[in-house]
Amino acid sequence: MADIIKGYDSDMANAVSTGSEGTSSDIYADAHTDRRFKGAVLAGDISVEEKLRILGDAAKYDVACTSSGVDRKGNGKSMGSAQSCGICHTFTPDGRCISLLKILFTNECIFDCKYCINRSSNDVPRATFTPDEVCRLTIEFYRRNYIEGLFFSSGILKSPNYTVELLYETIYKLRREYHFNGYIHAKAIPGADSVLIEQLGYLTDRMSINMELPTGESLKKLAPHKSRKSILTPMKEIQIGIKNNRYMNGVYGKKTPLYISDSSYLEDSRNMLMDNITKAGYGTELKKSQIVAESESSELMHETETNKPVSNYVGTKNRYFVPAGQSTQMIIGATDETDYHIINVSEALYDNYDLKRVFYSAFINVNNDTSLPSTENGPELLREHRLYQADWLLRYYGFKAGELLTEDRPYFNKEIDPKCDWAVRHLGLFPVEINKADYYTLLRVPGIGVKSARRIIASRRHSKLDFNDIKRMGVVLKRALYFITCQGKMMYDTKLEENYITHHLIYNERPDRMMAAGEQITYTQMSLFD
Amino acid sequence: MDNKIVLVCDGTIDGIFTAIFDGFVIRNQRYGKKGEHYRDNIHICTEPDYNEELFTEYICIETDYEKSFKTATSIRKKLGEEAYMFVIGALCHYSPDRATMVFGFLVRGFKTGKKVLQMLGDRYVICIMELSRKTNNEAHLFKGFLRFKDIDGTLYGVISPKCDVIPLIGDHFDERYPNENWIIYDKKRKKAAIHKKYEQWIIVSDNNLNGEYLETIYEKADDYSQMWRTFYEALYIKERKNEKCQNNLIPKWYRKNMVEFLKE
Repeated sequence: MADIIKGYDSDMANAVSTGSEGTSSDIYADAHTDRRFKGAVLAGDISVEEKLRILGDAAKYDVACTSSGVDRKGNGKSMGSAQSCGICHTFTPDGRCISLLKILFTNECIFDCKYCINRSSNDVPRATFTPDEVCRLTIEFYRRNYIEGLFFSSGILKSPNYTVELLYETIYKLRREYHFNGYIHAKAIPGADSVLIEQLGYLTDRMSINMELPTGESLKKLAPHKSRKSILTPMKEIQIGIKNNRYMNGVYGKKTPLYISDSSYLEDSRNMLMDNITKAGYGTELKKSQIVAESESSELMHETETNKPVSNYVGTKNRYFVPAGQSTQMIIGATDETDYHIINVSEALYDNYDLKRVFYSAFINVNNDTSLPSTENGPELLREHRLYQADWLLRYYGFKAGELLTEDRPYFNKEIDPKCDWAVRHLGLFPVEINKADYYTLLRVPGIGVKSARRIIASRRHSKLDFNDIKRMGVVLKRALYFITCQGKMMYDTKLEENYITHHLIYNERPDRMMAAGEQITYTQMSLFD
Repeated sequence: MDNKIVLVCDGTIDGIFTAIFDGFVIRNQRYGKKGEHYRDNIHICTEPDYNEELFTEYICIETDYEKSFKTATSIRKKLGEEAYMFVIGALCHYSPDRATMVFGFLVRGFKTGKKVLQMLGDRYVICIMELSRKTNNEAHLFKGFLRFKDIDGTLYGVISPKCDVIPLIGDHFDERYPNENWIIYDKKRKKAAIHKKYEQWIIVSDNNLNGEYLETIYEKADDYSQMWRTFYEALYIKERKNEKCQNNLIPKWYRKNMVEFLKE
């Protein structure tokens, strides 16, 4: 027995290939025998509280804890409702929100992904809930308004299908026996049968399958039991399911825009901006970015097209399939992909899989695995932050990934955010006149967001705006003032020059860092009088 | 320059609506039939003890539910439900100027109609939107940060909010827990929202409410508090510690009644 365990520890794939030549289910069964042996040493009778501690701890590296995307009124009889904006219930000392009861069903896992705390080769305390324990915890926490619902994931017990069956059993109980009407986010397990995924989809609000790593090669290296195909196929199936369900039930839970509801205006505005960019001489750059984006998409699509999804959900009336959409997550910094590569993958996911969100998780070397980069100096939080900022630009500001970064400049600027960075490199488009500029052009100005742009457009019909007015509307003038005019005038006598603006923007955000850096900074010396 | 006129009322929404009603009457009597000569000199004071100023006329307003109802209906009819929600939101804020701002907003609103909501260049309009936004933000946070204790089958929740959020969060909890008896008690204002299983929730204030009794009940222990604390501690990733971020997202004054931040 010891031999087998040793074999699995070092490299499970090897052990499997040298073992019996069985079908894939045999392999899973074998692996499970191994796990049970290990589990028997550690597992005893442990209390629900202890299980909660172990399985909460095991789930914490999953980023998504959102309860947004679906509006469901209470039904007047049983407990639970959902709000499309989502509700945060508390925040941990690392500044992350707790909105859902985020737990694993079990942390016993036959997979051996190198970055994961629950990998089969790790010697950590293992525990498994029973479906009733999970239901009772969810209900009692929900009653006390601790949580917004359940985030339910699991290690792979026996086989992906077996695991999904357990998840399904629990969630079915929660919905039908405990009559829970709140939010449920479930993880789809890569490699599970599409029929199971479909059934799960009817009971949950959101589903997600983790991309884990941006490229297929890295995945092969770090997560030998997962493949791009086993991840993208269910993702595609869920996407098709959501689409078909929308045809059946109509668009559901869609947010109405604040003031502009005319989508043709948005289309015009988008085209106008692209014209302006081309006219100002940034056209070739734009074209190049489009080509890259297309190649990235086709690469992603290729994975699912060679293996066409088998299921075609038709849906049932008034039975909603994953109404809050699906999301995914990527680990940042475990492998050597560049920021440029990562946001191109995100963009392709948004375009081709209709994802609601892509989450980024700065890699933490929890297993102290020497084959992975060390994170002794802390995880790359700034990089993660920049990626989230860029992600917002992709989803709400009409940016394309290729506009933000290029192959020659594959990482985000550490000092200023991606939008400021873009603006100072495209000064030919500025300054923008607040009283005339169209929507997407306003959105390109640092310091103006979706809300303030919409407020500007709504209120300038009634009166001419000046700097005080737009300040009251929520425009961040300390960033915007370099790029805008109000009624033909700039706020101060500032220069439209790259070094000058960059310097001031950095100084605004981090005066201390600027002072500390001293002469190393290559930007010209700041002077209040120039 | 016209003399300042101050209408003094109690701080409740009914009181302020009565003052607004009387304010319009005074405006129409003194400044032309449609108030065309009115220059924003009517103020509404919601504090019982105020410092009297020179050259200012003070008028005490008795709360009159009929007048209050009339004000409410004319806001809804002439300006729409959205504007009405802005007004209610602004009036639930703790700012001493809230009633004056709402009066200024309504003066403009009744002149221009529903378009007033887009006149964001105007001081009064942007001000009530801002007040209402702040109140609603706080109410939204309390939807998450409120903690119930299950004591003998009834859910007790205690909060001490800055804005008067109870009227704004009641519906949310009504929808969420139709099958529970629950009470949300506002320690600061001594008022509570009370909900009986499958019935309409109501607001009970000061005189009809034994607040101290509620607070002593809330001291009792609940089995799941410890369970929740365990979960809360398990979810913290030490490598990512960032208390500044936590303080931004959940400022410390919110934590007074939240089990995970209380040591036992």
